[in-house]
Amino acid sequence: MSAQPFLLETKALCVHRGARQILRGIDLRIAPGEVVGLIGPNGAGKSTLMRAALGMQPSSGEIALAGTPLFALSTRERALRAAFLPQGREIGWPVSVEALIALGRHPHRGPGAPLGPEDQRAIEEAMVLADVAQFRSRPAVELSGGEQARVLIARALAQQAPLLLADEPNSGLDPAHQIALMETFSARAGRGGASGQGWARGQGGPKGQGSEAGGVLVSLHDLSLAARWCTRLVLLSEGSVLADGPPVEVLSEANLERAFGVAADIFETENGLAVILTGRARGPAGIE
Amino acid sequence: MSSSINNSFHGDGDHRRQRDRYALTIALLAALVLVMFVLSLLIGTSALSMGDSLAAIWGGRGEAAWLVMSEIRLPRSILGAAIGASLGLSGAALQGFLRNPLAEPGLIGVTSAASLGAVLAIYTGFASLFALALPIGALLGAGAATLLVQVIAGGAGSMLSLILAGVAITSFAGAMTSLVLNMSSNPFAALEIVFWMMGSLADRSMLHVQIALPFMVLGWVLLGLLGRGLDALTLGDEAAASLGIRLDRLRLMAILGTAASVGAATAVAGGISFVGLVVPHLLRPLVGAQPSRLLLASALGGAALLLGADIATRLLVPQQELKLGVLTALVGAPFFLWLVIRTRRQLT
Repeated sequence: MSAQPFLLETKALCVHRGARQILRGIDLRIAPGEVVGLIGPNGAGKSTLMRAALGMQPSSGEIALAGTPLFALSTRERALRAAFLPQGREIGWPVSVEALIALGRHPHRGPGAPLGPEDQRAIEEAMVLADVAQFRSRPAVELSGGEQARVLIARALAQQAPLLLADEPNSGLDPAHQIALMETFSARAGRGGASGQGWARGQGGPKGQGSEAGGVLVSLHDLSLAARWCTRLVLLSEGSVLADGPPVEVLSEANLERAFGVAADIFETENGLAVILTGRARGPAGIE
Repeated sequence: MSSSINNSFHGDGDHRRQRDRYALTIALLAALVLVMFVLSLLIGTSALSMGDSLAAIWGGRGEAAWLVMSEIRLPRSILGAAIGASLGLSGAALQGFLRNPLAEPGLIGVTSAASLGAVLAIYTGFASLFALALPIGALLGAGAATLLVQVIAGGAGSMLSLILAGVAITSFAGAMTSLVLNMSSNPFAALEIVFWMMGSLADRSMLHVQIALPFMVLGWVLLGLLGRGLDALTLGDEAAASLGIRLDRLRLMAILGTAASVGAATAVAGGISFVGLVVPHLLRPLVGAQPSRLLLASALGGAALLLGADIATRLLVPQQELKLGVLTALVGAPFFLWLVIRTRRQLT
């Protein structure tokens, strides 16, 4: 690792909700240039981990964003360091797609300041990356579910924070847009992606972000997609980190059986790992 | 994902078009308020022709016509504009904050609590001690309700708890008002209470303006600062919080701003319903549904609508002036029904 601080670092992060412990001492680090996939069964604590990392969920333990403890950051400073794409896709009013994406610029604008040229550039870039520029004037609520998801992704991209936390951003997207999204994340991390054309052009701008590598923490349920596009995977199970490492190490048959209670065939192909779920495991997690 | 990024000119144009349209909407609404304000000065129950009224505005002091204008009609017009603006603005702010198009200023219980304060002032005879006793009683009621709502629903309370607290306070204040009417042995006091609750701008003086306007202006400032936060809330609580919006502060400002402006409005005019509900609805499509832009638009729209409604009360039945609250409810309730039906159709 370089001398740059971690974009996100948690130490012994614990979250309780009532008597239940949701997170049990999570140590997580995300460095610039990483696309970290957060995988795990429903209720493992993936969403809670993201909320807690941003201080939107009471927790104990240590959290630091880009080397600064979370408690020492104002909400605006935090929003300049980390963008968050929640799982719930809310669009409250029939505002235009462009106006909705412009909300991502909030932390960059002073009180009462209008959108400047740099804001406009970020919005345009985000619209191209998420492939929603053709909808710009339409009310977002009139779009299909997958299109709305892409608009909200564009909002998070327009925030241009070094760290992006995305909670199941792929659900509801068609295969081409799932891949395009993962390419965008790779590009965010300064990895170019296999065919990230949209990004390559975006870099041409006078203040393109390509120079500073960002980092992404993305929760996913599609294990093949996770294996193909993430530089590292973190497997959560019952509030603890069960495995943390390169996809090849984390996606083992034993790990999948322990965490998800499924049996899987895992092949190594020239494009990364292929994970085929063959059935429910008969192990302790199974129902029989 | 590979279309050209060099289309920023189109983007700028789009933004500018929206901004221009917003500026035009605001200008038209402001002009409408001005027209209504002048009409409200010129039209009245006293036998004063429009020509006389105009002459009085330009003419000398001391004449009867000038007295009618400055002592009766001017405060009435100022209050009409200010109260309408308060109702429209707080309605837009609460709808934006709760992300619910059916929210209205009375939702947090301030209106009914202010009414209870005024009713108690009448019942106890406190109201007859000096001119401003009644509005002061109403303001005390509004203040108590605000404290209660903030204690119950403030801090980490959810939006649902705010609505529920408002419902509880409204019900309780309504029951207490009924109890006062029930206990009132003096039929004249009971009649006065009933009439006051209907809401009216008749016979208000500059004293009423002086006591109500500072609170309303304070409320306008608080609500006017909400714009960007309300815009961000379009994305939901979590996304708004992640963008750096302090939701607890936003809630406090929404409650205090509504309480100050609507509490003061109720204190001098009684309960005037439906303006705060209907105006944001009518104007939302004109401002691209952006909550921040809806604030100023609704303030102006509310002022114009209430001035217009108050003029109508003077014209419709000249012998027996209609109560303003009765008129707004008569027009507003069917509109509300239409709104519910339309919303239901959209959902299914």
